[in-house]
Amino acid sequence: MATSAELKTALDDFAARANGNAAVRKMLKEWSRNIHLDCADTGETYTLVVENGRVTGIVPEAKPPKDIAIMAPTDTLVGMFRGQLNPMAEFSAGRLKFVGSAKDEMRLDAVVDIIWK
Amino acid sequence: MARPRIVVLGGAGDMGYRAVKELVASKEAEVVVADFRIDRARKLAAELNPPPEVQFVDANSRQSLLQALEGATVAVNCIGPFYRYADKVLPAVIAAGVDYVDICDDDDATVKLLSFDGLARKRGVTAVIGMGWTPGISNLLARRGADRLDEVTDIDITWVGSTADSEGQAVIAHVIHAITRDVPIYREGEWVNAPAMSGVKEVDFPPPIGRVKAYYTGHPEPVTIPRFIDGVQNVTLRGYLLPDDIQSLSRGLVDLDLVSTEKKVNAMVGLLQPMLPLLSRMGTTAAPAISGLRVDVSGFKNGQPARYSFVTEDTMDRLTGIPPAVTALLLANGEFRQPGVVAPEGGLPVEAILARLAARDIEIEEV
Repeated sequence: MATSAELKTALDDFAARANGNAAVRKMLKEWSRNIHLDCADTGETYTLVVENGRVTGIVPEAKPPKDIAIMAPTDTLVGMFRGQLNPMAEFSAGRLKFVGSAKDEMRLDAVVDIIWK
Repeated sequence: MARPRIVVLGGAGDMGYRAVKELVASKEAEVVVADFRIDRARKLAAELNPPPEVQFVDANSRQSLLQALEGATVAVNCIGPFYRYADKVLPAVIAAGVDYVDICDDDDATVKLLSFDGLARKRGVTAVIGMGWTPGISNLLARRGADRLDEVTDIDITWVGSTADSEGQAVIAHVIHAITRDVPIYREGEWVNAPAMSGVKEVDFPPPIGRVKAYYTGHPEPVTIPRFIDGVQNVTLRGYLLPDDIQSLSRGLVDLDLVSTEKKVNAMVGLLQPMLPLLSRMGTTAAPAISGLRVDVSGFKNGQPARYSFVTEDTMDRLTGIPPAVTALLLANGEFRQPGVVAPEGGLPVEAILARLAARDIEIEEV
């Protein structure tokens, strides 16, 4: 099982790659969301704070408002944010739950793909 | 002095709401969200500060349109699909004596809208048609390129849209309309029809879009540009959908006769809309949630062949919703006036509009 420290490292790496990617910046103009990551196995929650397309914070708590929620075991979250697991495949297999709009789901999916392509 | 009143028809739609947000943020006008989906309009309006006024409007009813336009300075028409509604809305706006801007993106509707030119002139109404992303920014860039040349011969426009970048029913209906019939292009000084999805050509975009194999689609640019840009001999309009594999699905819809009537189109739109997250994942990677536009203008300068190419990539709602808002403010403030029906390349202050778009972070790259 992945540890909290591994998840934090994966999220920091993801944020740095997203913020440094010109294509992602084009795609996320005006996109501001609090993305809650709920670790189904440990009960921990992290919030990825996105403001105008930039990840501006990763906080170890459920920061309101909850615009998007992703629920999965820590291993799955780490694999997804490292680009090793396909979010749609994990969703289809029932290992990941997504709460949010379809448009946000597609946008996040595309960001993960671009960063790790 | 009273502030101008701008009524956004279809202001609760994906594109209309982006125009509303821009107008509210400008603080230069009193803004009205007029929409058939009144509950959605109220909900979206409440998210803005200050919240704009909300009104019900039914584009099928002239009386309803006239009621919504009472006291308006400018109407921004975002009610799509335009091949169904545009020629119902513009006559009502002209009758109300209100200046007008729309984002009409259907070639057949554009021909109908141009036929109201005489009526608009008579009433002193300025009606700017096709002022979104494509048409809209595409036409402005065509004009920019043409103005740099001594003689313009060819204008080639390519758009790229993504299933991950829009979820509106009108957009889906428009795309089906654009790729399922013979569509106009302008070739050697004459309008001719070509089958949609033919004329395949490789066109390059910056990342994340990259190279696409674009094809003819039904759009207004080949209809309007030869009317407003003197001497041009060829105007083509190609489009491409992301992800790549969606092209096969599109051809399949046509081949299986699933979109040959309006009833079938309506049913298909209802079926496809909830499937967009799945469709955006067709193939090996997720479609980038972005839209693109490339305009290539060729001709002669100082006796030598020359070409200017422009590209922009951004989200569809920004590319489509911001230009009509900027243009509505030009009309409302009296900065542009030209009674009649006019396309963006037909007299608007091109560089001033592009500068205002740049100030809103819509970047035009010259390639």
